[in-house]
Amino acid sequence: MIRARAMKRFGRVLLLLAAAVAASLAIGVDARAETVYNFSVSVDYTGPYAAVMDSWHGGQVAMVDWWNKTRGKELGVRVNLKTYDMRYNPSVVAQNWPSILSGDKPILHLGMGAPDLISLMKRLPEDKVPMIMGTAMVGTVWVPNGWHFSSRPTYSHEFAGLFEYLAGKLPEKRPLRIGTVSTQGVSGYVDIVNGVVKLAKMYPDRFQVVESVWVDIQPINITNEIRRIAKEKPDVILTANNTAQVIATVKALKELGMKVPVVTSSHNGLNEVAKAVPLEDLEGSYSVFAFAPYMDKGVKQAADIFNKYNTSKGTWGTTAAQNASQAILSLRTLERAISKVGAANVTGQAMYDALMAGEFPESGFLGLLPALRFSKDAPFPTGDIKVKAITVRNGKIVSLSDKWLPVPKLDKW
Amino acid sequence: MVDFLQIVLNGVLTGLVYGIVAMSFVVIYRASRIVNLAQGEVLLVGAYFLWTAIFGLHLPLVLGLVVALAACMGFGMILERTIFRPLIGQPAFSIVMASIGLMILLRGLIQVAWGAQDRQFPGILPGGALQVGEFLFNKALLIGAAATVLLVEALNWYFLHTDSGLRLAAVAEDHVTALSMGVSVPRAANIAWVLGVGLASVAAVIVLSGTILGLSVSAIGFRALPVALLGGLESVRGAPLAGVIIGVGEALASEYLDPLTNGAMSQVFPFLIMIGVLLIRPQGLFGWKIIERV
Amino acid sequence: MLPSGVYFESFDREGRYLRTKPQIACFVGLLVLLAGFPFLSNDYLLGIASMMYITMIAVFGLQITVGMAGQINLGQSAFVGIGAYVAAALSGSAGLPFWMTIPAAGLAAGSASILFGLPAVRVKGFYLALTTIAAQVIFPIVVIRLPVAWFGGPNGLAMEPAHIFGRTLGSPMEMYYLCLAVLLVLGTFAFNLQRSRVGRAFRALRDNDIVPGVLGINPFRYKILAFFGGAFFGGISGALYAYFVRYVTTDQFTLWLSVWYIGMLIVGGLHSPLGAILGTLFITGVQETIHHVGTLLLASHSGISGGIVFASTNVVLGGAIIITLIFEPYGLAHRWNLIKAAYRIWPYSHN
Repeated sequence: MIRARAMKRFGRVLLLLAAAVAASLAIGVDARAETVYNFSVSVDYTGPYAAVMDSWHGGQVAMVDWWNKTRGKELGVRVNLKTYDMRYNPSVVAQNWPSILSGDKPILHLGMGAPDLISLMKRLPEDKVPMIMGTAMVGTVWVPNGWHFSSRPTYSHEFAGLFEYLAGKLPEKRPLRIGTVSTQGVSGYVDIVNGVVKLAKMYPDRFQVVESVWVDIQPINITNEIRRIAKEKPDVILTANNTAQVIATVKALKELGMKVPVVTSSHNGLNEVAKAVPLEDLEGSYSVFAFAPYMDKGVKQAADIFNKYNTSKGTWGTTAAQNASQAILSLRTLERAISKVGAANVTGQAMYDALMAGEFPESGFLGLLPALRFSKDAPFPTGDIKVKAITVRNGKIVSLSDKWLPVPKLDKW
Repeated sequence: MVDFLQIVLNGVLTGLVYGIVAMSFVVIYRASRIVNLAQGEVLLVGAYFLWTAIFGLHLPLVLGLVVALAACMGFGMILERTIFRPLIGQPAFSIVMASIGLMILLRGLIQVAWGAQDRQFPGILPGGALQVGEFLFNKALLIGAAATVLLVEALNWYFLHTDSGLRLAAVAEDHVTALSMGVSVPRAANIAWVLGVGLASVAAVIVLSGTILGLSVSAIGFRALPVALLGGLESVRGAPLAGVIIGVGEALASEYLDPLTNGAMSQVFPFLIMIGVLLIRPQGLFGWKIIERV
Repeated sequence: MLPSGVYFESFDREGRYLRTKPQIACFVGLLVLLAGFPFLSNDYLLGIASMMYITMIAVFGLQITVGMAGQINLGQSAFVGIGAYVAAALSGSAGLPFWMTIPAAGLAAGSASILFGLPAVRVKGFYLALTTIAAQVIFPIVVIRLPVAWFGGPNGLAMEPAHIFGRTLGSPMEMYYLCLAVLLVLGTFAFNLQRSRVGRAFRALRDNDIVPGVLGINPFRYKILAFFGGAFFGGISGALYAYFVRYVTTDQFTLWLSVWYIGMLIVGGLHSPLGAILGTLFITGVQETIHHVGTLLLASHSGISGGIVFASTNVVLGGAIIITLIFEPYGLAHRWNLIKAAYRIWPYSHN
């Protein structure tokens, strides 16, 4: 009696199971038979980038979602973003990478910064998955035949572009006098200054590094150091590291009663600094990077895409623009790979070949990036490198120029 | 000559900031023999309370300061009650480890409670500099220096010339003996933490006034350790003095030695001093000369 | 505590770690499980396990210095870093194979530790902690300034994976076996050290500073030896780390990492190498679980800010340290021993 009931129950369960399997098979078979590709993404919610992660990842996700629904639909391809928090720690990247490779089989990795470079630089050529980053490179990873790339050149290249522009605007024909504020003991920071020193060595009639000072990462007061720079009468002071140093520099200049424009990068740019320092004190200072500023007229379409597709708490600003440009470069690379090998056959190798296959026109980048050309020599665009900058004019942050500023050729240092 | 004096002057002002952070450390030790390696994080919590009071709750400046200070002191009491009271009488080792655990815990709690993004810190002290003759005095640091001197004298008077302060000296020497003498060690620890966290908040105001508040500010706690050691862990007057010495030393090293050593000296300098103090004169300049200190 | 009916007829027999047949069987079973783990799991877990073994080796070293000999060392991460750099330098420029670079890294870190150990002879307790903090902070600043040909200067050093008999040990499984092998060797060493003459000298040193000298144990010599031992383990851990991540920079070896090592040791229990094992296991397990949960939350677009979830690892570790110190100062190892003893006496209680 009990056994009979149990048998009935068993039979019922079996039926349900069979129905579930059939249903899942049916759902699994997509009527459109689109190809799904994985991009693996490194994010960081606990380290130095935790604060901006929402806008960072939001920029990437919004761009990919838009592409999936428009161009991707036309091509029958969908991009899936597989996100991993790497805690900005190279050992976490190294620990997770093999399982990402075998599990997700990504055709591209969207990297975050130094930890990805450190652990993956040597592995990617063997694993045959290219990596595209959105942050600027440093000279230490400028090695040929790598599979790691960025939409941006090195920080030093970016600054060189602005310095070239400013040198051209000097009233008389003399080198631009540059002072640098940085920190010893952190390899990336020192590298930026070394690059600028190399620039001055290559073009001594255009640029001159008049003084380099070294301060704490979180300095309390650097008036002494700034006074040392100020003695050399610099035209600009370069502070590329973090917001705290920019603020300390600006305050020291104010204390000394001097007005020297400060040059910063994207991560410690004018918007960040303006949180603590009134914009009047920043009048005439610059932030320079190799993608278009968020308020640029040309990126309106990108901004609209972000605002339409963004589901995170992030906002459209410098960070979102940077990572949207990383995403759009990746997507255009995918498009080119599809056109070469077909929508169903894209592999990491195909993506790499697509990156190497010549110039990407500016028109494809929604105004975020200039025309880019990659080669085996360097992990960043090696054609004509161009940058854009923002500055503070009459108390407001504005684009420095509508046109892209060219970067003089800079050799490895 | 003027330049040299200006460098020295800036070093003095910066050093006094180190001094007040070191003082918050010393006060806790002086009153309860608790070593708090997490002082940088405690300072950070104080700064975040202040931020919340002024930017989160939008209180007017003075009221915000008072509320934040009260919150800090309450926080100090909670720390003492939950973490350090059970460890009274334990070897110094356990207390050091507890403060390490506190460091990690606070770092996590701050990020959970306030998030990791940098935010603007209220500009409580005025910016800019005061020009006196040839010399420029950074206004915020100057006010901070004045406050430090006042606080030093007040605390010194408390510890040396009041009954309750003198009782604390017993606790600073040995918990168990003090208990057997009828001195309330928990009460002492309470006072220690309230004072210590309060001082840390004052230090936070001086350091952060008008700049960005972020998680990395806690690094100043470790820079104040050599100062506390040089001045002597039980000496309240010693902390600012040691701060001045190290601040001036750092400034001179930055000016004259940095170009030679590629920027190394000014950052390494305080730690080299610390090692020197530990090996040569462990009680620091003004600490108690205990026979078996090390 | 042994079950009733177990007795020994010789001192040697009683002196072993694995005294009864069931204990031997359990241990062998554990070894089989560890060796067979790669076949039961995936690359993700293998990566976590390898990293955990590397950390465990460093914490073993810390247990020698701090737990056995009572010398507080907040600079273990600097030793790990020295080991990593030396391994990278030797493997790169001199082309030495891993079975030479790993011990060399350990010895190099050990020699550097003599510098740390010298102040230890003069200072103790909190002051020693400060000295080690100072040394830890100075380490990156010095390394970056050494000649670029030695240690890559500010750029750090890249590293080839380990080679054995012409095979590259690059895959997660191979790395896992390498780390496991080194861990077993060093673990045996650590457990045996505890019961050796040197280990007993360390224990005497931990309990009191002056008495050992009176008893004929040279405190100077044994303090230096304690640091050497801890640093040796740390250096080997660093070398393995270098082979794992394949690039070495000073940013990977910070004071924060040293603090985490100590945290793991405290939670696990200071007084025996078992504490190092349990502490690392527990903390790594919790950390990875929280991160896995966090990653899932992120992927589900649930709107919970990633910052809160991932920051909670700090909260958990800090809280665990403090709770351990207050309620169970002898750590998880003590709990483990109590559970074992309870299991053995059950169902009979002796009170």
